[in-house]
Amino acid sequence: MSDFEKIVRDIVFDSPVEEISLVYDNLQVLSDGESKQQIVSIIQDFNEKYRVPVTSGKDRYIVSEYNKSGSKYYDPLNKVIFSVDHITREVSDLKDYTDADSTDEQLKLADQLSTYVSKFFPDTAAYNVFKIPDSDKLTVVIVSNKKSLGDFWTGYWLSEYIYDVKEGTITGDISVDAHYFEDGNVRFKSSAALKPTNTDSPVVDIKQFEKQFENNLIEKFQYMNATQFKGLRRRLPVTRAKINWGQGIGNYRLGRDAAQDA
Amino acid sequence: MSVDEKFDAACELLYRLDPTKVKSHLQSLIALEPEIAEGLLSTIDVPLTVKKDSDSNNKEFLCCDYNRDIDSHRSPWSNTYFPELSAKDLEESPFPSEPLRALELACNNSFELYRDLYYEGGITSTYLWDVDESTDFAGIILFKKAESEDAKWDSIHVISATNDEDGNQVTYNVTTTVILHLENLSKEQQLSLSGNLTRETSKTVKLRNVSTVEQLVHAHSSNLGSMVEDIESKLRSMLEVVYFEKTLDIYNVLRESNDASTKLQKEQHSELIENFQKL
Repeated sequence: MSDFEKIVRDIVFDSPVEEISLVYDNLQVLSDGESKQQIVSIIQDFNEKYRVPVTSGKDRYIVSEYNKSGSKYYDPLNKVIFSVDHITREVSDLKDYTDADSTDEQLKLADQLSTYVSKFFPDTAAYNVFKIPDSDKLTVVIVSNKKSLGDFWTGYWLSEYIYDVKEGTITGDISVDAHYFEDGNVRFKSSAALKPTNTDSPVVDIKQFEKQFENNLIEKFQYMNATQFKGLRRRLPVTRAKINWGQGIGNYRLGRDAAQDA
Repeated sequence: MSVDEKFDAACELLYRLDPTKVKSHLQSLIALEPEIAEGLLSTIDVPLTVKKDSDSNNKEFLCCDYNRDIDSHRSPWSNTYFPELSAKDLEESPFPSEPLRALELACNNSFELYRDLYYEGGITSTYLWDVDESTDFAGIILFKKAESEDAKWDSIHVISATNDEDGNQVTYNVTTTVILHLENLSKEQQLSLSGNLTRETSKTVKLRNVSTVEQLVHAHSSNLGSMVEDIESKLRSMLEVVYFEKTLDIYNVLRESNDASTKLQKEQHSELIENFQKL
């Protein structure tokens, strides 16, 4: 890997998922527009890794290494195949795809997932169930992406699980990433891993794990605010009054000592 | 593409990428385009580093690009560069003029008191430099509090003081950045809140009873003190809202729960934000 490629890869993979087209523009400027193909190909890797939703009108599909067919992607539930512009994340050349046979287990899981996602995620969230080639395993993906660049924020939820149909076990990860950039650059990230768990009803376990994730998250926020943040800088000094700079700090120091003695 | 366009693109990127990795991204971008190095290093705020002043009982002082010369940093306590510079290098090293050094010492003293009252620990350092052989000056006021790797605060105030023509009043411009890093990495779940907020402030103050150097030093150090106190109070409130309300609001739109109590919580958050925006 060239130094250039390594740098671009580090930058792309550290970007807020919903800001990739802006990052692409900046990288184009920095490389004098001479490495377009190389940058797009790194962004394609990034989009696949984060299972980004791509859109065709109101319809949303997910891209990943599991549903790739040559330079295209297919959706095993909706039985379509399509091309993707990895910068705009728009679908083109959408066609029926009958080659994608789905198992009963896959369809059943997708059905339960659909109910869960519609109840706990916004309408714009996307999900899918992919077969992992040459195995009895299914991958469950849930992504939810939102942004309002005019209000200076973007956010991304990705949860992904591997369900071993034969063994009856499930493992997985959740990662959340929010970026707020009015007058600054603030990033919030949280992640958790689901250890291998025996299951006869994967969506019930997913629901429980994601609920626990949210409870932990709120608890941690409260602790960070009440303890970690407050311990860094006080809102006001112990005296509960702002410093009287006009008097000179010599006098003030005496006043403070007197206040503490009182 | 011109160097200016590349500089702007690099700055935009650094305001987008993960703030915890700003130092390594800064190095990468400089490697891509060495000509933007100087501009980036003086524009992009990175967490402050700490050195010890062996001429002042190893008292700690803060280091940034503004008190750096070659690979050494000037301590505000002994006015000496560490590690020590050769006599030849020192001939060209920046030092404040004598009257400005008096003000620098006064500011360091008063901000020590301020640090004690507000941070109950931590480190502060103020550095000043002369501007164009006038009575105008510029400088940087720094605070760092890092109790552990999990909770770190750096505040950076870049200041300039410009006198009007007859010397009756002075205008202070202050650009403040607070870099705040909080994390909670338990085995079952990792959470980090990290980044920076910036605020610019300007204030014009009449100078009265400043016939002696001592009086002028007192006037400047208390004016700067009261400005820094106000700005940090405002930024602290902004940080609290952005870190603990705005980010959770984003989370809540990503995963919209139908649970009634969560919805109520969400409404309370948006109320808080409205109140904050009225400030």
